[in-house]
Amino acid sequence: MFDFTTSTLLVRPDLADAFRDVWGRLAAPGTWWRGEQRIAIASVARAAYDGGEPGTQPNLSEPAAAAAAQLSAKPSAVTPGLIAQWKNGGLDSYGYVELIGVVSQVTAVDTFHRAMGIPVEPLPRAEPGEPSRAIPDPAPTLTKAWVPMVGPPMIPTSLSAVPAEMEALEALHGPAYLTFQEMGDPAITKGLSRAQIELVASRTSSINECFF
Amino acid sequence: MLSWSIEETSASVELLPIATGEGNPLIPGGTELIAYVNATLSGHDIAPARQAVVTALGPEAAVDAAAVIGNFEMMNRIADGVGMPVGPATRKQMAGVINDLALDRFPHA
Repeated sequence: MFDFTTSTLLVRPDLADAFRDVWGRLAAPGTWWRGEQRIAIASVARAAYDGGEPGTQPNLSEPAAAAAAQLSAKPSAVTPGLIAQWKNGGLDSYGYVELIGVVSQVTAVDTFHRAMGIPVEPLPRAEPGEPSRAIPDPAPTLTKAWVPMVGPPMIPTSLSAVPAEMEALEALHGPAYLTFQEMGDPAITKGLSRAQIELVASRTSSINECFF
Repeated sequence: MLSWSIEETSASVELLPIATGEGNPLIPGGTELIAYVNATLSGHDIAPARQAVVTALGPEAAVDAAAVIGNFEMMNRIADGVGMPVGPATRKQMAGVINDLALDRFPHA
């Protein structure tokens, strides 16, 4: 899994490890979704990204499939109205936050492969088990964002309603970009300078019509 | 973050190419990096765009750029999915960039 030995460009081991970590988390029971449902969310997201039809997903409700497809294909078109519509269809806030985590992480890994000219990794086989349904303490609250969070709404608290997804985000964010600690260093240089890193980030956000 | 990094390191940057996807942002390899992002997200001509980054900046740079593109595909989906609000402090700090890149045309909470 994530064997980049045939790649013409050397892929850093910490990056490959981070991708394996994403796939491991993806297959396991989550906080609000079973492993097979998390794989189904990933499958819908992957198909929607390429503009294709996701096919039948018996493990996934219609609102969940719609949310996964929307977030993958056109995230800037998500609105409070759409989230309310999905919620009325049975997709509650916690399940939605976990779904955002799954879609976004799979998109990150797949995008890296596309950029590198490497075929995307097959989705993993789901592990058995039930979701933990653990609500964080203190409980998340709804303030100015569209989903509840623990603490003020900002990127480091964005998925805090489902701490496991916040951990997964941080585990990938460091190797793929910068750790939250490294982000405080304006002159940090890896394979790219900080300015080059932010140039790539900014152009990506611009194409995605994302304010941030 | 780009403007902050530039200010803190006394470098310079031309922001318009970030919005238009064309031109020289005045950062070494910047033209090639922007073309690489354009190609990856459009799905067209990725291989020559990647090779141009390798030629301009080296193979490690191309791998890191691919990872950063992936990371921001993730972060954009999170920010848009949760409806991350733009607070007054962010708006004040980013005033110049918001204006230069017309960022308010993008939806946000």
